[in-house]
Parts: sequence; C-alpha cells; structure tokens
Amino acid sequence: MKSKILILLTLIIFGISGCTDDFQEINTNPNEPVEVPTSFLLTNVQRTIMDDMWDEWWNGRFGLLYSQYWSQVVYTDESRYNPRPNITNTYWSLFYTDMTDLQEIIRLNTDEATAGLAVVSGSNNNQIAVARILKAFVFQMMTDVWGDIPYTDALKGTEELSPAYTPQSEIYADLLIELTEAQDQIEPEAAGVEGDIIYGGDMEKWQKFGNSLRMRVAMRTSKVDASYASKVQAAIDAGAFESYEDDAQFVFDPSDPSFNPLYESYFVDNRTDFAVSEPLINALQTLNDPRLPIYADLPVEGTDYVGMPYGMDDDTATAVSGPSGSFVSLPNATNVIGASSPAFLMNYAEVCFIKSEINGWDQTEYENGVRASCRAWGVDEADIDTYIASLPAASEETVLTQKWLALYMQGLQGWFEWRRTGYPVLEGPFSGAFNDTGDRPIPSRLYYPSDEQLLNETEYNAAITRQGQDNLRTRVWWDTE
Amino acid sequence: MKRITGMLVCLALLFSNSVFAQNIQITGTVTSEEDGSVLPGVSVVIQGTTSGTTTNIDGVYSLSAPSDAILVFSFVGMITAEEEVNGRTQIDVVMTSEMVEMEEVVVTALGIPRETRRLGYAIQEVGEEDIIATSESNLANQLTGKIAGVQVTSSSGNMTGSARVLIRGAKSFTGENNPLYVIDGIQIDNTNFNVADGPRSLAAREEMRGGGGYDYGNMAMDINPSDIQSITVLKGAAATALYGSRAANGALIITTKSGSRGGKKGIGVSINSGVTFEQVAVLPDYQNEYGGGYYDYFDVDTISGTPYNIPYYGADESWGPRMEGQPVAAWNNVYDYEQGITEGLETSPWNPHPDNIKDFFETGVAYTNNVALFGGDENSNFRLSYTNLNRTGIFPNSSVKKNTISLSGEHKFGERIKASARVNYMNYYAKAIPANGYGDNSIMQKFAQWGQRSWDMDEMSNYKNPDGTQRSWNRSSFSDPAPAYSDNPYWTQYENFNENWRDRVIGMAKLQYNLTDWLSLSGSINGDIYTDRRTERVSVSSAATSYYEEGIRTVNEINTDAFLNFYKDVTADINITGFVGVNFRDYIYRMNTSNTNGGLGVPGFYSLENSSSAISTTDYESHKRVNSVLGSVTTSYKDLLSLDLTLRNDWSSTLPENEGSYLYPSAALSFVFTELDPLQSLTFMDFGKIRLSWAQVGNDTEPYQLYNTYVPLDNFGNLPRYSVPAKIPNSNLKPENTKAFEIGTNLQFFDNRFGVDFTYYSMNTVDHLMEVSVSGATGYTAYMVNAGEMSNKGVELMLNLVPVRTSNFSWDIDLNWAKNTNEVVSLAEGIDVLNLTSLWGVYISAKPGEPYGVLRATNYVYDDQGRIVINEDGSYLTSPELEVLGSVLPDWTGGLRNTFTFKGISASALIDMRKGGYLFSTTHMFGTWTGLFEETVGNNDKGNPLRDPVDEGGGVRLEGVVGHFDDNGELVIDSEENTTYIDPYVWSSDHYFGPRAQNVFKTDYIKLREVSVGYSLPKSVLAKLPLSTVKISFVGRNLALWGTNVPHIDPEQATNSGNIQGLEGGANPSTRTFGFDLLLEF
Repeated sequence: MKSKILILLTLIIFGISGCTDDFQEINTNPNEPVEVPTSFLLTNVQRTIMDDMWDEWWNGRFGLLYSQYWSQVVYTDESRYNPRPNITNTYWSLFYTDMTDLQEIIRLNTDEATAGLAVVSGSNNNQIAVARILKAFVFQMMTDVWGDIPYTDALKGTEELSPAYTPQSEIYADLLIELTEAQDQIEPEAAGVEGDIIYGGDMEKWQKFGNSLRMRVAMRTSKVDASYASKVQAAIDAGAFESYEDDAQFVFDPSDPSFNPLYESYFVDNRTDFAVSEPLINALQTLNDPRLPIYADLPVEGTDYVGMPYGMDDDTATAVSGPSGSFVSLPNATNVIGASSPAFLMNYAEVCFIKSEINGWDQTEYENGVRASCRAWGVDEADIDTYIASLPAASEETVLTQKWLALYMQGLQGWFEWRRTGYPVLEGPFSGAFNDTGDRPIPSRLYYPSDEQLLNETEYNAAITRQGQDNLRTRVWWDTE
Repeated sequence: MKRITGMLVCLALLFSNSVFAQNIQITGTVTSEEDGSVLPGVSVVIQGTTSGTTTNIDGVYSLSAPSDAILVFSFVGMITAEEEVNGRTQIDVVMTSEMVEMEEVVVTALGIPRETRRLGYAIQEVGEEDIIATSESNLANQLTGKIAGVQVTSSSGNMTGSARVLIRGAKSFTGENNPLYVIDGIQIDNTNFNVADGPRSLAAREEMRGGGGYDYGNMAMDINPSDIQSITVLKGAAATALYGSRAANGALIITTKSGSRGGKKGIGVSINSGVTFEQVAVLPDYQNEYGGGYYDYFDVDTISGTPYNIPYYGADESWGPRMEGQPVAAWNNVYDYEQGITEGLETSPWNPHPDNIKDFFETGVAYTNNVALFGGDENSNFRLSYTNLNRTGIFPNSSVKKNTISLSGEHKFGERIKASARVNYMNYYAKAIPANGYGDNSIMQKFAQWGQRSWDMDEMSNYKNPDGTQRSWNRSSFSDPAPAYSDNPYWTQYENFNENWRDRVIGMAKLQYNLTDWLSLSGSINGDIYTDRRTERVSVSSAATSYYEEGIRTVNEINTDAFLNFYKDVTADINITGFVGVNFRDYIYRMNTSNTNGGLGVPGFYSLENSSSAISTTDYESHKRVNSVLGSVTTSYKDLLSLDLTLRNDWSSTLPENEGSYLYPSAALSFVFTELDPLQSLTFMDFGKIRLSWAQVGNDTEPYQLYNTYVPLDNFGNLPRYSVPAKIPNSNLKPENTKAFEIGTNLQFFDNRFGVDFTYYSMNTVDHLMEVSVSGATGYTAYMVNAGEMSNKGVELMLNLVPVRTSNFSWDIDLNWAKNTNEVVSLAEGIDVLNLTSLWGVYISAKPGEPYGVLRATNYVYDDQGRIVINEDGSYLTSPELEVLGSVLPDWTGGLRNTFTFKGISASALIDMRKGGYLFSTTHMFGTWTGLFEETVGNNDKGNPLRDPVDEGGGVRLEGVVGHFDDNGELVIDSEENTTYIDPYVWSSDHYFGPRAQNVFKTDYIKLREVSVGYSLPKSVLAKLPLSTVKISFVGRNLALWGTNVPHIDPEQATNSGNIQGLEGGANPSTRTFGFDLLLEF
C-alpha cells in the first residue's frame, strides 16, 4: 500500500516538472516591446546618425582636420595623419548599425503584415522614401571615406554574414537610382513622416533634399562620368533646394543627453583639443568675410583672430596654442559648438555652387551661394551685400574656395571636395605627416577598420586586391589623377 | 558502521540507543600506529553519552563504563577508533593517522557524503585548516594554488573586487565560466553584475575590458569564511552531472560548521578574532628626472611685477622640464594665491618625489570578529554565529563593513522525522571602492597612464579649497582653476566616491521522513534573496560633469526539491543506493538604475531629484525557470568496485518550446585494485584505484534570446526613441551539449607517505549557445548562434610526499600541477572567427584550430631573416594586418606546498606558478607614451640623455633593419642597420600609434602565495583549562613575486572576473597581506 502511494506521488511530481505551460510567458521579454511606432525609430536614427557624424572623433579628429577647418592644439597625431586604430572600427559599425533602423522602417512599411500598423507614423511611401534618402546620405559619406564598401550585400543580417564590398562605381550608380526613386515615391499630399527632427514631416522639403543630394552625388563623379552634368541637371529639374530655409539640418536639443556632441566635448568634458585652423582664419581674413566672428571666437588671451597652424607636433602645438588653447581662436561657442548648434546634412549654398560649376563657374549662382551661406549663418543683409560686392569674380578657384568656406563644419564634405577639385590650395601638416599620403599633402582615403580584417577577412582581401593597398594614399574610383 | 553512505549516517545515529548494563573499571594505553609512541590527550568517551576521560602524558587512561559499552577514542589527526568493551578491563588501542586519504568522506553533488575511495571521478577538498578565515575577503582567493586545474583570477588591489574561478579551462565561448557555489545544499547566486549587465550597460562592458568602471565583486564573495568547514571542488562533468547545466563549469561545495560537539553536552562557544594588514605590492617603475608638461622649459609669466616659472598644469604627461629644484609657481601655489590663502604668489621647488605614488596608498586594516555558540544532544543541534568585518582599504576613504548572522539547527522528531533549517543574514556596506581601467574616476589611470612625476603627495592631500572647489594638479591653466583632464586623486576618493549596500538572506528548510529502513522521502526549499543598492557620484567642481547614479538590483533564487532515497544491501557484498527526485529552480533578477543628466542643481546634494535635465532610467527584469527530474543509482561490490549512474532531464524556459526539454546521463566507475586478493599482500602499496567516468551535460541560455524586440533609449526632447538591437536573436535555439570523459588513478605507497593522484580528461562542447561578433556591415554587431565546438583536454597531477613523520614532527609536501589544452574546433556557418572583445585595437579572439583567447593586433614587421624592420624615419614599421601575438591562456599552472608540524605548531608555505600565456598592457602603452616610466629617461647608445633633441645627440635609435612596403605591398629592405634617431616623444607615443606588439608580454610568474604559522595548545594543557581549542595563526599572502617579464605591473593584475582576460588596463595594484588570527573554543 505504502509503495503504491509512493509510486503515485512520484508520478504526480514528475508530471508537474514536465509542466511548462507558463514557460513562454516567463520567457517573454518584459523590458523591450515587440512593436513600436516607426516614428520612434526615425527619431532615433536621425539623432544617432547626426550625433555620430558630428562628434569629437568623427568630425573633430577626422573630417574637420582633413579639410583643415580645424587644427589640433594637443595630441596632434590625427592632424598629422596618424589616425587611432580603433576609431575606424567604431564608426564603421556605428554607421551601419544606425542604418539598420532605416532598413527596419523600410521593411515595416513594405511588408503587408506590418504596413497597416506603420502607417500611423506617416504614409508608407513617405516613410520609405525618407529612409532611402537618409541611407543614400550615409552610404555616400562612407564610400567617399573608404572607397569600396559593403553596399549591395550590406544590412542583411544573417542572410549575409560576410558582405562583399561593392565597387564604388556601382555604389554611385545605385545611389542615383535610389535617390531618383525615393523622390518619385514621395507623396506630398499624404501624411508626412512623424518623429522627423530634420523637416518636421514636410515632404516637399524631403523631396528637395533628395534631389539636392542627387546633385551632390552626380557632381562628385565629374572626373569619371562624362555625363555628370546632365545627371546634375536632371536632379535640378526634379526640384532641389531653393533657399537656405530648405537646408537639411539637424538641430540638437539643448538638454543633456541630446545636446550637440561637440558642445559636450568642449563644455562638458572640458576638452579644448581643437582650434580653428590657420588656413581658414587666413582665408576669411583675406576676404574680409563677415562669417569670421560667426565661425570662430577671439582667443581667450588676444584681441584678434589667430588661426592654429595646421598639423604641428605636440611640443610645438602646445607651446603655440597656450594653456587650454588660450592663445588661438576656438570655434564659436554659440553658433558652432553650442548645445543646440545644428549639424548639417546639406545646404542650399552647396546647390548654388554646384549650379555655378556645371554652368562654367556662373557668377550669379556663385553669388547666390555666398548669400545663402551668409544668410544661413545669420549675417546681416547689408553686410552680405557689401561682402558680395567685394568678392573676386567667379572662377574655378573662387567658386570652389567659397564652397569650402560654405561647407564649414561639414568637415568630410570639405575634404571630399578638396580631393575632387584640389581647392582650396592646402598644404601638408606643419611638422610633417606621419603616414604616407602619396603625391598629395592630404590623405586620399581612410584605412578600413581592422575589425573587417578579422570578421570579414575574405571580402576585405578581395576589396584591397581590387582597389589597391589599404593605406591613406590609394585613391577611390571617382578620384582620378 | 564502516559503510557510510548518504542519509544512512543520520539514520544510524538515530537508531543507536544505549542499553545500560553494569559498570566496570577499564584501563589501557593508546599508541600511534606509525611509530608505536604513546598518545597523550586522547579523548575516550562512552558512546552515546558525554562521560569519558583523556589519556595522560603516558598515553594511559582509566574510566568506569558499562560492561557492554562502546568506547570511542578520538584525537586530532587520528582516525576515531571504537572498541566494544565486552566485559574487558584492559583495552589498549592503536590509532591510525587520518592522512590515510582513502578513508576520507567528502561531500559530493547534492550534498551526498561519499567515501573518496568509491568515487569514479576526481575531487579535491580544501579543509578548515587551509581556510584562514580572516585573511581574504573573497573566498575564491583561498583556492589559489591549492587545487590542481583550478585557476583563480582576481581583480587586484580592490578589497571588494571580484574573483574568477576557472576549473579545467573555459568551456563557454561567451557565457558563464565560473563554477556553481553551493553552501550546505543551497545553490547560491554568484552574479558579477558588471558581467551580467554587460550587454545592457556600456559602463559595465567597458569595465570588463579595462575601459573604466567599478568592480563591485561577484556575489559569492558574501560567503563568510569564518563559518566554513570545508570546500569540495567538483571538477568534471561526471562529478557535477546531478546539478545539471548550472554546474557545467564545476562546483564548489561548501560545508559550514555544524552545532555538533562530538557528543559533549552543554553549550560550546568559539571566538575567532583576526587582524589583517594590506599593502601595495607592485607599482610601476617610475622615472624621477622630468616633471609634468609637454615641453622641456617653463613659460615665464610676470605676476605683480615678478617673473615666475609657470609649469604646464594642464598637461597630464611628464615630458616637462628636468626636476632640478627650480622655483616654480606650482599648481598648489596658484590655488593658494587665487584663494587668498597666501598674500602673494609663492613658489615651490621643482623636485622629484620618488615615492609619491607609494605615499598615496595607505595600509589597509581588516578586523574580523566571530562568535559562535553551538551544542546539542542526540536529537538536536544548533549553531548560532555572528561575524563582524570592519575593513579599510589601501585607497584613502575606502572601507567595508559586513555583519553576518547565521543560525542552523536540526531536530529529530522520534525515529522517522528529521527537520533541519539554516538561515544566514548578511548586511554589507562598502564605500569608496576604487575605480578601474580607463575612466575619469580611475586613479591608476592617472598614476600609471596619464600623470605628472612632479607631484608632491603632501600638497595633493590638501584637495579642497576653502570655498569648497577642487584643487587639482591638472588645473587648466594659470588663470583657469578647472581641471583639464583629471581630478586630484584625493578629491576622487573623498568627493566622488561610490557606495554599495546589500542585504542578503540565504536559507533552507528541509524535512526528511524515513518510510522504511531502506527508503526515505525528503523535501527542501532553498532560497537566496538579496537587494543590492549602489550609488555613484561626481561632485560639482570635478573634471567631469557632476553626476549621481543609483542602481537597485534584487535577486530571488528559489530551489525546491523532493527526493525519494533508497539504500539496500542486496547481498552481503552488493549494495545499492540512490534516489529519484525533482528540482524546480526559479530565478528572478530585477534592476533599476537611474542617473542624473546635465549636472547637479545643488552642489553636494546627491539625489536623482537634483538632476538638471530629465533623468535617464534603465528598468530591467529577467525571469528564468528550470524544472528537472533526476535520479542516481550507486552500486558497489565489496570495497572493490563502485558504479554511479545518473540521469537528469531539464525543462528550461529560455529555449523554444519544442527544444526546451533535454535529457543527459553520466556514469562513473571506481575500481580499487588493491582490494584484489593477490594484491592485498603488497607491503609497499597501501592503496590503488582506477577511476573512469563519462558524462553528458545539457545547457540552456539566458532569457529573451529568441525574438526581436526594440531597445528603448533616452527621449530626444519629448520624442521617444527606440532602436533595433545590435544583436540578432535566434528563434531556433536548442540546448548546448557537453560530453566529458575522465580517467584517473590514485595510488598510495609506503604507509601513505607517498601518494599520486593523476587525471586525464577530455571535454567537448557542441552546439554552443553564444553571441558572436559579426562585421558591422551586416547592420548588426553580434549574432546569437547555436553552433560550434570547443574542446578542453588536460591532465592534473597531485603528489603527496611525507619525508618525515614522527610522533612530534612531520613534513608534508603537496604538489599540484595542471595543464589544459583548449581548442576551438569549429564555429557557426558563415562565422570564420570568434571575437570576444577588442580594446585599443587589440582583439581577443579565436579561429578554428586555435585556443580560445588569442591576442590579435598589429605586430612588428620582420624580414625573412627574422629581423625587426624599421621605417626610414626611425620608427617601427607596423604590420599592415592583424597578427596573432599569443594566447592568453597559460601552458600550465602549479602549486607547491610544504607543511611542517611540530607538536602543536604547524607552518606551511605555498608557492604557485604559471607558465605561458600573454597579456596586453594598456598601462605599458600609455605610461611609456606619457613619459611616466623609467625607460623614458636615461641615456641613449651615444651616451646622451635620450630626451635631448635628436640634433643635439638625443633621441632613440631602434635596433633593426630599415625597410618599407612598395606600391604592391611587398617589403623592401633598404639598409642593413637602422642609424636614425627618433624624437623620444615620437618613440614613446608610438607605443600607441605603432605596433601593438610593443605592449604584449608573457605572463609567467612564481609567487610566494601564502605562508602560515599556527600554534595550537596541546590537549594536555587544554585539559586543565576551560578551553577545548586555542589556536593562534599568522598568515601572509602574496609575499613575493619572481620570474615575471611584465614590466610595471603584477602579471596577475586584472580588472575583473569576467570572460575577458588578457587585457590589462589601469587595474589597481596587487597587494600583499599579513594577518594574525586567534581562535578560542570553550
């Protein structure tokens, strides 16, 4: 009897242990939702892209140095082309993972199962178009930095764990298609996108930005694509920026932790590692440019603007710039590195300069460009008129120099344009470069991240075999000699 | 009574009732088996009573006892002997030393006591005598060097730091590799939240890999060493199979002291007090020639008409002017002047302070006091213990206070029912534990990576101005008092400190019911419940924005089980014992952390409500349940053979529904061949056994790995932000599976004066549940996979030698040695390499065929003759691609202990060794760059100061040939010898910008790990005192280090106990400790 009870008891206990009815509930993640409005993804991706683009490392120690807008006052290795090995890893991954949110917006608005839900954040087509434009913006920046990069195979998760590198020529061809299709896809009458920090859901502005970006893409191929001008013109005809009020810019929220990342490095972390560079201060002073006091501040210990010579070694740089860079001009604390100073994706001024260039250095568009830039930075109309009247006539050098001045803070764009055109005329680092930049004073690209050597070795090797050595002097496809 | 197994110990005690008969007078002499000498002080007790006597100085005893009584003879270090009186009046007894290992009973999985001789797998025990309660706060460190195949890594220089125990190498690629801790049958939580929160918390992840943060420790450090009786280390899968996947990395079975007084009635009292002193052991070799600054001269400023030498306060490097006593307006002079403390600007001499870093550290003092009351009778026993720990660390202002109360007891209700319960309450508070790694609050980052050699620590200790602002050596400039990069280290410790509170209850209740004489039913519930609260702060006027963070974590782990136990003698020679049972494990972890943003509104007020901007919050909960059915059968034949079979099935909530159930078996055979008739006559061999075991263990994963969710992030203004996680989940996970095989032998020779224990094992884990790094171009950084194979093969050898053994003196030598070979056999499809982490461009990774934990980074370039190639500018050429620089895993580890016992004095010394394995030293990389270390001064090979300008004969010339890579990437050698001198600053900063191989070092070492001397009052003296034990001990730990190749740091220096090892960065210095301990028992 006793043993029968025991057996019964045992069976009951064993029955209970196999009971796993509530396991699915136990393993449902209470910390993260399974569905969110796509607008929440859009807000996030805009913020992360621009935060990454604008921060102390990617803009400060890379873009703004290679274009010589800024110069380091301490720890000057980057300005002498000695990039820190781990930084490329970080940003490569960041930009791709940022784009995963864009890819997700496209998927949620495309997949029939989810499109109906996603539509609360704006019409499906509008959301897809915005995501495609932003993707094109990031991809072009990345290919201009590195050359061939994973593009066709990229952002596919487990479907492609070792994404092949797409030749830059193919990336450029596809960027034009993407941007054309995206602007066609926009439905200005339908609900605009929600959660949009850049344009507040104004779809007409997105359309203009898409076309303006198409102008930038086409213009950059001027040395390798004979039909570049007609491609630029097609984008203009489709409707690009018409005023500085159309500018694609991201305005940071002035409160922690959403403020401008450069504000964070100067005023939160107290790092005055960069001053405005001598070439920029000199150019502005020579032209008597009204943007000088907007771009730069007077030195803490000084009464006139002093540019920091570009690329000095540490000893010399620290001695020249003084403690905390107090002998030289730092970036303007309000307009440039303020808590809510904007980050630019693309400005109307650039559209004007591109128009001037494809029309044989057109004087009117040249002036329009200068005016647009000055207006965007808040210069008085009267001062703008005086300034424009004093400018030398439009020519390759003057237009491209003004373009460089107008691209201030878009450090990478300044560098890309210098690589394409050679303007403005810049010299190598004061104390010499650490790494070989070939026949140029400034590098032609950046090293691929070492992560790729480890995690995507075969495709990495294929890319350098095709493109050339993984160093700073190998030129990308559009950058012919 | 010889066959002691399982519950039967208790049962036997229960049923032994004395029947009283007529008393007779008995006398006799007790002698030792080894040398025939008489044994004084042997306790002779009539079994089942508390009456008895002890032998006198001649080993003679005399007592009155019933004619049918059983006399129990017990003596420290001897096996307890029993003699039936049977009417005899003269009973002489020969006692045998307890060193006869084969008779030992150890606690195995699920608390089952087993005779060591019958085990089919390797097991090793650390007894009470090896645990010096007051000497180490983290229990795991007590195992260092003592157990073959066990590697202990501890976070150095931090009294609350974590310790990692690795048994037979790492089994998991990315998951938990620490063993399971079990105290008196209670499976306790050993989370290291820095590791556990790693995937969620950037700060925690950074801390793990040396990026900066606090190591608050692993939760098993709460175990109170004062309460411990023994620790059994279960190494292989067969030994731990009954615990299932949770003990996949082995188990530490900890048994605490019980209330039993060996039959004595009344209350026992023990008092244990200790004091331990802790000092810094290893600090970098600093240069003392040049002070802080970026260039070798002073700026001269005229202040109130007087010119002053102005050092470069804002520099956190030591490339400044030579220290020759020049008068300078030092940072402290400027604060004094600015604050009106001095009327004018005073000066200080620009002098070296060679001991400035050493002077910063204090001697840490730890007081431990333990009082325990215990006692019982044949039906009950209890023990109540209270321990108080009061400790200060080597860092100023750092302290730990810990109170532990534990109560345990059991009672028998009649013959069938036994109830036992145990509860342990701990209250813990730690303050100002030092930060680690590369972070704002990390002091070692300033002391060994970025700093000024001209510091005067006396001046530094005056860290605060009268107005409450900071006095930082790193003021931005003459006119700007705000710190440029770094806080004053005293400010960090006194103003920017962290705090940690924890209340923890570990308890269990168990009921056992004896159904028949061969069957019993038992049920128990075990719980480990705690709340941990941490705060971190940065005060206003620090280099970083003022900040306050508060994190509250709660853990509830409840294990409920029920077992049906049986024991049956099938024939006189064959015995079967075993059980079937169920276990339910429920684990809930909740975390809420919040931090201020935009600084603190009111200085000095540390509250989340004082945040200038909206606070950020992380709200996290994780819940896991595992239901299990398990069973075990042990069959034994005489003393010759013993076979264990176990079977366990788990159902885990973390796996997909159709994959959540998994079954796994184990088998272990013990064959004592010396029991065979032909071998029993061997005189030189006392004991010989062969062990053989095979086991399979399944494993699950962490919760919430199956489906895609969106990660919540801080709002942008009022717009919510969510993101696709960077890790790709996997809804097709299945259990991971480990198969292990082990063969071993244990041989004892020459009256047990020489013993050998040898084990070979091989373990293979397939279908690893792991997170792998993937190319960022996939759009993700990690992927949860369920594939791959990793193997660990190894040998463990233990030797015991007793060169001298007399009645008064013995000398024991114990040697343990282990070699583990780890190999990543395969990875998941599409994954070519497993990357654990990277820091400063150095990767810890593995490709198939390599051990898991290979350092990959840029290397020197070598020509085809193996010569280092130098650039034409005189600096090292860097390999264009990452190269393998070495494995972080040791080739072998070993420990050697000599123990001398002379009468009541026992002295032992433990040396432990590590051979092989490499580490990357961030300290070396930055400390050289910034000119802190001695190699950045002195003369070059021309005999000129290397810091002099190159054109004046200074600079550094690197040895090697000169070459470059041509346009096709081919190496071209331009000259056979480098003759170019490079600027010393370029040379030093090239430790960062050049080949990473410059900072990779081999981590061999030999350490004098522990020296202890103890004296116990002899029983003969104690017999005249109201005391039963008096023991005084001295213990010293980490007393000496030899044979290291790692400059500036201790080769063991680590920042944490997680999987990421081999990257050193800003870890706190290792320490040596000295302590005294007094134990009194009444």
